[in-house]
Amino acid sequence: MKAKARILVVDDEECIRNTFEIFLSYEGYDVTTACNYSEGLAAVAQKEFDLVIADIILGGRTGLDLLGEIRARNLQCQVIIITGDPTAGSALDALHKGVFKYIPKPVRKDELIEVTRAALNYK
Amino acid sequence: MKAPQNISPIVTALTGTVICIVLIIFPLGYFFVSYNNMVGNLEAEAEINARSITKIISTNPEIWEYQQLRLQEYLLSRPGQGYAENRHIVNRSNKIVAENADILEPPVIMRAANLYDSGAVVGKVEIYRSVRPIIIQAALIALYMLPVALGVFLILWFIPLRMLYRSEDTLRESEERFRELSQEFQTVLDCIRDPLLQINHELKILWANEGASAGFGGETHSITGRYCYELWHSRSAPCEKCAALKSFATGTTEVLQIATPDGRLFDERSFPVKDEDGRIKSVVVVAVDITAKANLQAEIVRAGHLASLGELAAGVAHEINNPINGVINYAQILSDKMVKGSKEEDMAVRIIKEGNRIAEIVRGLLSFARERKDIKMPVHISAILKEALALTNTQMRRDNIQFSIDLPENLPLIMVDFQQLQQVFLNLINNARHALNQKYPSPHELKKIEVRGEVVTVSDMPYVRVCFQDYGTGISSGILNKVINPFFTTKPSGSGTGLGLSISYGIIKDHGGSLKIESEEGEFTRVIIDLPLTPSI
Repeated sequence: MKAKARILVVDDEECIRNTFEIFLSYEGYDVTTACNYSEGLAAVAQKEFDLVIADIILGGRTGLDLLGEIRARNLQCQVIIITGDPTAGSALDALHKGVFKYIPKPVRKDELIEVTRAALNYK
Repeated sequence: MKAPQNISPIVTALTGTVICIVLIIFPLGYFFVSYNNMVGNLEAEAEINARSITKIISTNPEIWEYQQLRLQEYLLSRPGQGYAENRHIVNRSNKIVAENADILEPPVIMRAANLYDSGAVVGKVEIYRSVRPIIIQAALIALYMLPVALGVFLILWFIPLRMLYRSEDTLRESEERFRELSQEFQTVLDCIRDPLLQINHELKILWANEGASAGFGGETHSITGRYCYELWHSRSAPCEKCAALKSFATGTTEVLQIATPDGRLFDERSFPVKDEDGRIKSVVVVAVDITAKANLQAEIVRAGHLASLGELAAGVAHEINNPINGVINYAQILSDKMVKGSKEEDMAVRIIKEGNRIAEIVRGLLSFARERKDIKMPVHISAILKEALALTNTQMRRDNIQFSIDLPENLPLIMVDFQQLQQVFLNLINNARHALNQKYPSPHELKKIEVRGEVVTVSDMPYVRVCFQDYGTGISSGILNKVINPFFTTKPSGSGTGLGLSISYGIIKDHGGSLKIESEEGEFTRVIIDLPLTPSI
């Protein structure tokens, strides 16, 4: 049996973490959540993930910082950046750092599952 | 040298008269002097001869008449030179006793002296002399005088005329210079595009430049003599605050800011013009149109507001996007768990739908408020309208205003700045909403805004035409051509800036298009926007 894909959801909003976890778990993924940059960084340090879904605004640091750190550590996982304040600047920054997809909020169930599948298949 | 009118014949006549008089007086004077001299000579000669002959008579009183040879010899004894003369000695019976006869040419004059014997007249001596030599000499003098007189005539005629000509030339040059200066001055003042007026105490226009006449829509001469308040403010009496009247009263330069009925804003400055005694004769008024400047200032303020709104919207959008994302997703979870077609599932779907609406509004707000620097991109007109409607939907529903949209899907894409066009559509929708609410405070079947789109050809160029039509209060023909002017508004104070349509007009012009307004008061207002398919900018 194929191992469940491991997904880390990093968002300071509980409702996002919670609903994403439900949607993705229902699809059969192994979902871990983190509420800020430090927790997210600790999670990727402890466990190998296939996909990281991170919000940009995460308290003091950002999801883009986390993306940079993942790339710096040469971790083999895809990263999807979600944001409630999409700007051309942050989108370009994310692209430079090797983001798989940059999605403005609200991120609905269908879109989430679709982009998750695409990211995992890409890997 | 052009002869002065009327003066030249007078000078010629006067000079001619003087010369004629001089020409006659000299020979005549000579003649009369010479004649008198001749007469005196003849009288003296006759008297001398008479006395000498009287002595002869006294010696021989009885026979003197027979001493003819002696008497004749006496008559001949006179200087050989001199005028030719005839000398006669006649007795009491006027019979010639002796004579000496030269040839005399007429005319001839004669002078006689009596001969006495013991006191009694016994005869007389007559001496004749011709006047012709004097006449000839006088005539010769007249002849000699002729060229002199002609010369004098020319001098007397030429010098005064020359002086007159010079005076006239100087005067003409002075007039010419004055005219040139006047024209230059007028040109300089006409180059000033702002209205420039000179007005008197009654506030009547004495003079105006072309800027003023153009501003009043007439010729310069047609506004001269009219009251400034009548032309400028369409009033029948002076304005309550009048810089010109204040200048007349204070004698100093006064400044006032005024708004004209057609929505323009002027910085009016009046400068008193004083005479030699320091009394104020008139006032020069310069009115600088600061509408564009004020517009720019308003734009800067507006840009500042938009920037603040942009920052605020970005923050709010983030704050709303997260919870609304949660609401939509939780509702989705509920919907997934509900029995399909159940009432509960329907409610969950409704929550998702309303959540999506909120998300759309937030996105539209962010799109509107965020600063974009003239980024033109190919856009379908319906996409812009959709964004604008998302922002106004709630207001429209609250006001019971219906939308009727007819935008064919095959309308071509146009190169526009999305945000700017959205701003134009929002302005037009807002104006239509205001007109409809004024006419129909309560729901009505005609309380609707129609939006139509089509491709048209104007001057052989393809355009996408979008018409916004409402059936509200309409615009009266008197102000229809003013509604695009900045600061012109029909809305109550505080409800409108008067900038919406002018900004919209500017945006459409910037896109190489046109914005026209058609309206019938009380019936409808139609705003027609033409945007080029191929950008001309």
